[in-house]
Amino acid sequence: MPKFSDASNSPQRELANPPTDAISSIKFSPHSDSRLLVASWDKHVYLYDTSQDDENQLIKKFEHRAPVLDVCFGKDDNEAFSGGLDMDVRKIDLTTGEQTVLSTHDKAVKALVYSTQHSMLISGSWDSSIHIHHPDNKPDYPSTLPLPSKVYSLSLAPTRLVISMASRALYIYDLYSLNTLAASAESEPPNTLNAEPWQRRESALKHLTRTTACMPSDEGYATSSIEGRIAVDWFDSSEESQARKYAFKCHRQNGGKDPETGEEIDVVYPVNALAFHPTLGSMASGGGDGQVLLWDPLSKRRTKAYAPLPASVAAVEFNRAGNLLAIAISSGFEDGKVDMVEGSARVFVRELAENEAKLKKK
Amino acid sequence: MASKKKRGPDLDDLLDRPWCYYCERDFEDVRVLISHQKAKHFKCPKCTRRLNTAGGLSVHLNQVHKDTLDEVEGAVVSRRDPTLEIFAMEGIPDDILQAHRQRVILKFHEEQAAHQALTGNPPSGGGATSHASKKLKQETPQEIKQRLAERIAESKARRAAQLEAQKGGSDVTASQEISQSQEQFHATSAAYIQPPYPGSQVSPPQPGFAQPHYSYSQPPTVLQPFTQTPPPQPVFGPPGQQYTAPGQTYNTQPYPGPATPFQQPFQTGPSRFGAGSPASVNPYQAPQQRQSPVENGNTPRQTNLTPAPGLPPRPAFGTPSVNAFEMQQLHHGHMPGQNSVPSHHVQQTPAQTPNPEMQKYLSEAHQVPANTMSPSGLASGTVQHGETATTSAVQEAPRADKKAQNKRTKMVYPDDEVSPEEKLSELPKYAFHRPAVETTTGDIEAKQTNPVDATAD
Repeated sequence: MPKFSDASNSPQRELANPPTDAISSIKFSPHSDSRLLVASWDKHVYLYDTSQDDENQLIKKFEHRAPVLDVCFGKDDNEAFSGGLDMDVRKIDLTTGEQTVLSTHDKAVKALVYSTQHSMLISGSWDSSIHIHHPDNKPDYPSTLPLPSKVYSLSLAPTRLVISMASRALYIYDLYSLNTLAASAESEPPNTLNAEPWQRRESALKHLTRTTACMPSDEGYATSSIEGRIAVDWFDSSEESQARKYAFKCHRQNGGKDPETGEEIDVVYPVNALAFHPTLGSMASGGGDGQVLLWDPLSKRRTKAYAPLPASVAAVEFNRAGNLLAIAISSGFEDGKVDMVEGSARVFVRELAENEAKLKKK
Repeated sequence: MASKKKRGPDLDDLLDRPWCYYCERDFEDVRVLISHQKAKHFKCPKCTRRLNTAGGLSVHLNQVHKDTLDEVEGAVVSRRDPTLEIFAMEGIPDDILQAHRQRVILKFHEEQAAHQALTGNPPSGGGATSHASKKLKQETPQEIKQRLAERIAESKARRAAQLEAQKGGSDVTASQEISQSQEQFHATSAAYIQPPYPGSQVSPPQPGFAQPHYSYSQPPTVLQPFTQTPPPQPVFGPPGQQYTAPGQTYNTQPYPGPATPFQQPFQTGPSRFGAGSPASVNPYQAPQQRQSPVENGNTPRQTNLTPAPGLPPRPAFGTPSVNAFEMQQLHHGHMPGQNSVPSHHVQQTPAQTPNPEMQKYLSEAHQVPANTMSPSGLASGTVQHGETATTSAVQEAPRADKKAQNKRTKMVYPDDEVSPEEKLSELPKYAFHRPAVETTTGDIEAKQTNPVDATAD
């Protein structure tokens, strides 16, 4: 029996009623196992229940004024936050569909994370700042934390916030102190914080950062770049810990032919998506080549390669229990193609076998 | 004669060994190499299949596992390109083959040098040297004494001649008349380049050493007439100190080789040996004696070389020549205790000379072949330079490979400044223009949009 399985022997379902345009983000609920939010460039946020059969999968969709770039669940399955090109950070009541603007950035909102532990919502924007919200506070005065560059990705570890930005900048904040600072500083806007990051780093990769993902174990994080590469870094700044960091190539296609010169070339795809398994510690990556790969970040091995999908992988996400892997694909995303191929935006949910995502045996 | 002891494989054997392109290991024969490559480099990571080539593995991965081969496993960094079709020794690029060859040669010589340094043995194949030393060995004490006497006599004669010459005001010609084969001491440098040849040995220069034996960079077997015009070299020392000596004018140089490493010592010679020493006395020249044992026997000498052990203290006017025993000792790296020569050259007595074959390979490798001959700072300095040059050339090749590989990559999204989303957001169909009147803390109700029921869609 082959060690690697392909699509046929692991049930991979495609969600019915997918978004009509490129997908920007997918998020599983941290409160239940099957609820999935999908944000799309078609100006909608979609809420699915992946456990249902096709007709009942799509629970609701929420219209926005502009393309939505990120979405996340709030304190429970009824609360979500979204942000997008209209620069607003919104709270969505998933039951009633009521939307509330929490704050407005100066440019589009690119990333959102919600810390259940601190009841804190953090929004990152291309205006080179993050807004820190406490949506439960009444009134909530979001505080603004200026950053050196456009925010591309936010990622939460149990005690850390990793902000990856343009120009390969990367800041790590201590979540607890950031929360304390924001909470104490809450006052009438403008409410600008001046918080030094816990660690100021540079991306370990040479090219533009695509996304980051933190390990649930709170040990470190992974960064991916547009140049088919993933770096694994560790929070601990001690020398021995830093010596463990590494980077590797992936999501490349060898031996292709250059259409212009006929020369043999390696096509290098951006790594758009990273996600850590909530319990096993393995990592999933999705690239512009339409591939989703599973990695063992400790033994630095690839543990699985799924059959290539027909379009660029936009996002991957494990659910809370770690038995589902959601994969969003949409075409023309990374190469700036104007025309979106009709029906290329699709969401797959893969049910993982017991040992499918586990680490290599030592 | 004792049978020649075989000391490890020779260079040809080493060069003939098949080796693995991917990990530079070499093997007994091609079959072993093939099984190595199948097991280490062309093994499918997903099943137990072993393929014959990287291309085969790639096709297998593609067809059986729906996967692509990114790189050849277990290969050195620069050689992971799975597109190269390599089977055993077939298909290895020429530059890499050459680099490997050079590396093998280099390593071989390094090992030989290390071995020789350790044992003090002459290199294998240095036939001329061993014969010469054997002949010298046969010299009996009587012969030595006789030679010594001759030297003394000759020295006396020379001194007399010098005095005479000085009186007569024509120093050089006068002394030439007296001695059979004289050379002007101040003729140095290029003319006295000591070629690296087997058995070139170093003997200690002594203060007052008045008997140089030059070898001229001349084609072998051409006798060097003493009437040769002095080379246009700077004269070391004041003109009054011009020395002439009955040196031998032979030039038995079987291997005129690269000489650069040896030029330096000549030029710095004069200051090193003090007033009594001729400007051009050089440790590298003394061994010439060994090249012409016949002449050694025939020609009277005057020399101030180290006294042989057991001989009476030398008279003020002359000293016994180096005898065979001492020579032998010098050749084997055991300096006579009384040898107080300060020159660091002397300590390099265990001269190790590459044999002609080695020299051939070395020159092929564009390398200065002097490292095995003389570990002297000057010589080895040059050699090390040569070595680094060669090694870096070897390293350069894979690096260039890597660059070439990099050139062949094409990034799907090459913009290092702006993310794809930002570009997408600038497309007209996604353009969003916030109404000017709207404020952040404005009326929430106004911004509410009605949820769209999925079923109603």
